[in-house]
Amino acid sequence: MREQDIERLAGAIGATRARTVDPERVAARVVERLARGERLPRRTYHLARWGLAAAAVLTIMIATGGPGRGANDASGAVATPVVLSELDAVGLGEALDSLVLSAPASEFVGWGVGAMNADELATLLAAMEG
Amino acid sequence: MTVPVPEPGAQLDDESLIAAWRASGDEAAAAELVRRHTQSVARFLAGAGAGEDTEDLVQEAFFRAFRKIETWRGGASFRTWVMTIGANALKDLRRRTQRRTVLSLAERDAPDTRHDPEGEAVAGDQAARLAAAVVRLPPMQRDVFLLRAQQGRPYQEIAAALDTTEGAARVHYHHAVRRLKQAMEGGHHA
Repeated sequence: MREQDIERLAGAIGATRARTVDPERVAARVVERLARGERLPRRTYHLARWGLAAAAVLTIMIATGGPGRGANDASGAVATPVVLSELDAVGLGEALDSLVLSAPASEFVGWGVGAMNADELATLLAAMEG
Repeated sequence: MTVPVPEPGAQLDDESLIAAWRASGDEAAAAELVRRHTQSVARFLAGAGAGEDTEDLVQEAFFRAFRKIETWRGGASFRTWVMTIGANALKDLRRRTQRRTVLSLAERDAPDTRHDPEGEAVAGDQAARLAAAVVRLPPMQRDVFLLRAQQGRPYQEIAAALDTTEGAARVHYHHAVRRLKQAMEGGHHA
């Protein structure tokens, strides 16, 4: 098959599906969302494991000498800046491949692995390295 | 909800409508831009494999575009820019979906016609085979190929929209076509 044949066929790709999309309906929904002041979702950052390590170090720094508010709870435990709320669904390995930083505390406080002290955090990181 | 309609006789270009939205949040201008480009964006996203999520993704692409309109610099047309935003929305959707989907090896290897209604209707047809192969291209190659071959956009604009160079866009296109030719001639998918 020649390149021109592929290009000719490409013009028809998606045409059938696109015809089912109603511009007026889409316009109405977009304007409705804009009118009610809906904002863009919080930006997420996907990090490799080194990213988690860096985030963990930053958390420890904040917990030990930083502002001392926000992620720290009264017992001194440190909530990592990592949303692990999907652990129940996807497992630790997959969650570590898709971390979300800067989430509000309410998103991770209360989750089993979401709050830990520095020793526990170090243990987790060591296990990851292994 | 009633969609605002521009004044009769008003046939503003995209830049003027965007300026109106930027300046005062003119919803009529935003609605006109959506009406004007919905079909093209839908065709692009359907070709990229959006399937039954096409309309939702078109909506999401335009919503995101208006919410971050200050980042549009005019290097690419508004329409092409919205398409790339839609491609990112599709990627986000697939990432979320994949987390919750466990496919067997057999299912992974099977031709994917879920996102291609034409493919289901005319299985075996060349267009259907090409559509399935396009969906399986690496995202950058897929987006460059669709913007060039389906939408007819110049490389310069494609490069600006995808934040790459014109030369790199040409290379992505070349690789995409090579893979597609292999898929079409070999009878298997890219």
